[in-house]
Amino acid sequence: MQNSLMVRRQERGWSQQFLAEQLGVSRQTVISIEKGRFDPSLPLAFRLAEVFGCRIEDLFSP
Amino acid sequence: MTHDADGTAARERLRWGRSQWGRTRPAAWWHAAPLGIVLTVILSIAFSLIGFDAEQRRLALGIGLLCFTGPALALAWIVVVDRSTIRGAVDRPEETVENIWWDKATQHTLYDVVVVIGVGAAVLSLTGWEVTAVTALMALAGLIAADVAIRYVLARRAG
Repeated sequence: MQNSLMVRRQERGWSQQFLAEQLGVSRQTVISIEKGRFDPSLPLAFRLAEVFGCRIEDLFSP
Repeated sequence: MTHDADGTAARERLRWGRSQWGRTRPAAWWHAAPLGIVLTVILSIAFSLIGFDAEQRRLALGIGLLCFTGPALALAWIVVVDRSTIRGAVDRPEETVENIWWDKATQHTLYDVVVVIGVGAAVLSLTGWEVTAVTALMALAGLIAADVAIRYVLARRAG
């Protein structure tokens, strides 16, 4: 699944570690999501949308 | 970040975490170490009393102490520690990619073990080699541990 996670994170000047701490997951998880290797669970997708202040469908696209 | 029972003071995370027991929430080893030592002694005495002659009991007790210390301390720490107070531990491990790698590794190991057991049983029946149950089980346990570790590394590399 494609996503705009990296762009949005870099726009805010956040590190992968900072985002991982906001989400309560590992940095490796953030890296894997950004590269599209790992599709997050629905609760994690909701937290991502909450952290970035947008909707899930704004972050992810099939 | 954790809080005291009265919900006021935030607690600093520690490398080995804090105990989930007591109001002061000390470092986990303050509770885990005594518990682990008591557990080690109990297990070692039980080990030396079961299946050993009187003259071998001291040696068995010593071997028991050597063998049980590590696992007993680890078990005590697992029981005692408040996981949220471990420095670097993630809040939701079940949602991390490492959990996916672990699932993949264990699933593939199951298939590997089925194949190994089948081939091993065929080889033993054809050659007539006799292996004790203890040896076979220990070999199988070692194989499973090694296979899971290798599969985990492979899953991690694949991403």
